[in-house]
Amino acid sequence: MMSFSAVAPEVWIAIGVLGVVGFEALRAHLPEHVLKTAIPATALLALALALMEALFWNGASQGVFYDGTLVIDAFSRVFVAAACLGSLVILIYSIGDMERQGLGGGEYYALVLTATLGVLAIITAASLLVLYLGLELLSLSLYTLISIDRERVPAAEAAMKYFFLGAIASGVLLYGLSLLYGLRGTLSIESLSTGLAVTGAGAVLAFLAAVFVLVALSFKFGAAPFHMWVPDVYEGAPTPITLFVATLPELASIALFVRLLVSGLHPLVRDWSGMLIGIAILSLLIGNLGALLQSNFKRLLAYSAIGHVGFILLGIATGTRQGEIAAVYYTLVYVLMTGVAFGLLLAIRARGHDIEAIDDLAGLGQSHPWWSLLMLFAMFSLAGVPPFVGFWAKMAILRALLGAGLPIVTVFAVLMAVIGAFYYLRVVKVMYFDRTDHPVVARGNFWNVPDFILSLNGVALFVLGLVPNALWALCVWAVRR
Amino acid sequence: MVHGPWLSLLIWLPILGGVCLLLPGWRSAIFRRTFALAISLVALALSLWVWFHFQDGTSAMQFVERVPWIPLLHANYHLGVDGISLPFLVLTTFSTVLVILAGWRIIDYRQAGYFAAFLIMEGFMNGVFSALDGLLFYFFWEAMLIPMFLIIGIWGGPRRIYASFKFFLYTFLGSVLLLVALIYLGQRVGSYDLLAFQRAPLGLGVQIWIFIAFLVAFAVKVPMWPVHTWLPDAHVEAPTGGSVILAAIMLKMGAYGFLRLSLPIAPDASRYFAGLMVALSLIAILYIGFVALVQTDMKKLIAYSSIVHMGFVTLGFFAMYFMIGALTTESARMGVQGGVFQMISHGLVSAALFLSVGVLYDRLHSREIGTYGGVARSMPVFGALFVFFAMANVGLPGTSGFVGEFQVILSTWQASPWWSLGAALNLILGAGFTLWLMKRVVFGPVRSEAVARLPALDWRERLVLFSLALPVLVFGLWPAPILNVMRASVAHLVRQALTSKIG
Repeated sequence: MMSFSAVAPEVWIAIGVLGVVGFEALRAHLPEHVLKTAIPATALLALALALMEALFWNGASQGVFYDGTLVIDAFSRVFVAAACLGSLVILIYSIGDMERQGLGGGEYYALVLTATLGVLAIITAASLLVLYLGLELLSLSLYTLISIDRERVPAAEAAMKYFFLGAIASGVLLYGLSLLYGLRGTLSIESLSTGLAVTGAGAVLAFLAAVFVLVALSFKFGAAPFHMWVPDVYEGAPTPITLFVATLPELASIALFVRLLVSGLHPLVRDWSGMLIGIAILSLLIGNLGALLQSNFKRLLAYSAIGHVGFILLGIATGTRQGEIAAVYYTLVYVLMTGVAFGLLLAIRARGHDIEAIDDLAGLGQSHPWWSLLMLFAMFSLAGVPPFVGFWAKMAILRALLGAGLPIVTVFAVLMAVIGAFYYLRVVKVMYFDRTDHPVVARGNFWNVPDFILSLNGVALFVLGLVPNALWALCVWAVRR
Repeated sequence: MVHGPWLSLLIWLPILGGVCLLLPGWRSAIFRRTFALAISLVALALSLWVWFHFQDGTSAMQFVERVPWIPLLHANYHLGVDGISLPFLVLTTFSTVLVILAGWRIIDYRQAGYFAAFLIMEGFMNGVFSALDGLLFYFFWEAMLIPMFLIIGIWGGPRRIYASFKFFLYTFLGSVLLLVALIYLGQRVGSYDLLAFQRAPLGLGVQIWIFIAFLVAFAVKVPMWPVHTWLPDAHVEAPTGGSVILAAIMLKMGAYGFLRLSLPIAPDASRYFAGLMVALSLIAILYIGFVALVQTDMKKLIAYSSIVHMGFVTLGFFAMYFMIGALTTESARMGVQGGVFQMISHGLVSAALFLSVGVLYDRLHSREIGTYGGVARSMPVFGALFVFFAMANVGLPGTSGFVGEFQVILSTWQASPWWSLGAALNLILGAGFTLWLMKRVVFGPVRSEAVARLPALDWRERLVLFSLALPVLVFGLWPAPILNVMRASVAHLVRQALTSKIG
């Protein structure tokens, strides 16, 4: 029984997938309104049960399970819970919009669940194989999700681009992993960290493996110079899917970095930390400068995502525990902030169509004071201005950088943050300073579940900014050895 | 010693009040206005209560509150005031009351948001002046930018967007380096306690970097030449209330930062850079004085005059490193005291001048000097007040403007008579641009029909301007209350600033 509880969240989600697919198979035999409730309810229930399972995971069930394929530790617990919660909230935000666009079929829910399953597999992976399987499950679900609206040409283009580049990245990762397997003769990530040759003939191979792994992970995270797919995918995908792409894979990516690079390849830290700093600096530059030029809001957030990934990678690149904590903290905070930004895009619609251009938000400050205030929270938080939680995330990274003796990189990072502030301010400017005759339209009534959760999410940016200790302490706990 | 969460109240009450104003469901605008005014009056009363329960003779922090805030970082929610920060708390709460009164009828576009922004900003500003923890200080320091950005951008003039972005990005750029320095200090000292920072021994090399990081942040805020260019834009485009708060409080934060952080934390670097600081101050005093002379926009002229006056302040702080001989400590104290007094006086006078310009602008919607002329004929009371504030701006004995400038000039003499002379020259220059402004706006023949028909001050405007004229006159004749409050703290600060931390 004990060993079953180790995969309890995954099992619930898998049951959810089967349930959704089962209902879909019975589509011809069941009335439409039953399906319309049953399918989302199944998906939501599966995620909720998985979340409960993760929250109340028995402390005794920590350790490595199933012949070293799965590990339940503090990190797994925090991130499995975060992924389940994130997925649940994203579904709640997006159901209405997907239904409205006629994309709310069973395949949508099934794919979201399989993607979440992939994320959970990555988070709990103790073996290289499980890690790779999880990554592929996530990626394949994402490719399909992005092109779920078949009629939409940009979506198809984005999905194709993502698929081809992603397939190459997966191949690169697999090659790197095979090198590691060849060197150590085991798939266990834990045993990589002990006794990976850092001298002699093996050193070159190990270095090569680190390069391959790093390139593949950077691609999955959307870090420059492997970022080409990010803006297209963000812009091309339907907004609910963009919300999904912008949040859950980030959790998976940080898990990949923590599991594979920081823990697994720790003996090679000297080799990869330098490369990672280069990648991070490039991401900061390309993300922040690229975002300056955007007029499409989703594309702006895409470039801003690249910039934020730069910050996160700086934390990882320090190779210190403090940096790891900071990166994990930053990722959680980033997911919270992005959830607000994209959730609001779903809550408000400009003159009958989705919000695309930044200018579509004009006049929001007057027509919808509450939504625009939350968007202001998200923007200032993303910019890293107190009293919002985004400030503490940046502060954690800067602290780690200074602690690792990298003052010049620190100053570079804060200067990039100033450039970043400019385009976030632009969004605030459009909402509050510009006056328009065509204000945005908000969806339905205010007191419904999605709007309430979105409000909570937005207010959390402020509350966690006032009292940042709890979330931070959770991250410290998550990466304890 | 008085205990209790008085400072917390001063910070969070206005913020909560501002949030309440933003809530929907208010019956009418008059309720909102009255509520905003009531909150600001309560905050003023609280700050006065703190003032009257403050004990003069000690440099120790009073009204201290200290609870763990971020245990992970050893950062505390640590508040307290000494004789240097206390006057600014009162100045902040006082200015906010005036701003709300001044915006009573003038602001009709989204008035609730306007008042809410000022109340929230008041809370943050009180936070800056009472924070004793580096992170808390930075937290308020940055948070303050958001409401000001919105105030300039939403209620500002035609070029408000350019001005608001320039304001935010300039100050943000300066501040991030301050953050890096604070984090560095925090890791080195093991906590973010500002008083621990002040005690920590630091080598000259480290001090120099820290001083530079602080300097970028504070110089932008003061503002010192050559990073002053955001100020004229922000002042001109901001609504009257925004200009008042910018001039009266925000500019003081840079100078306050020098007193609270730069001088005590990096005294040796302060000595190292003192020459540069004095040079920048003298450039601000003389060069910007000439720049002010040629302005045709009243608000711009006053903005440049603010830079000049802040030049006096920084001169008073940094001239102490060049003093030699028996009178060093005495003169150094006088210089710092003069600087702080000048900050307070300038807070009152510049606020009054901006409000006066606001009075004219509300009537004719022009800030151009050329529009006016002979205002005294149609608005005699206003003319008298405007001239009185102008005299205070010049530093006429008997007004508060005189006390600070005189102390600074007197103490600078100990460092170098030439600098003193340069600073004193400004009295002529300042008289030049201020009195010329008065001649063109208030006196002379009536310029136009519109000026001739200018309505007199209403009771609200009178109340605002007279309540500023009173302290300007009182503290000019009798500066002792303020000087007594700060004496012990200034002495302590000078001791810290003149004691080397090396070795």
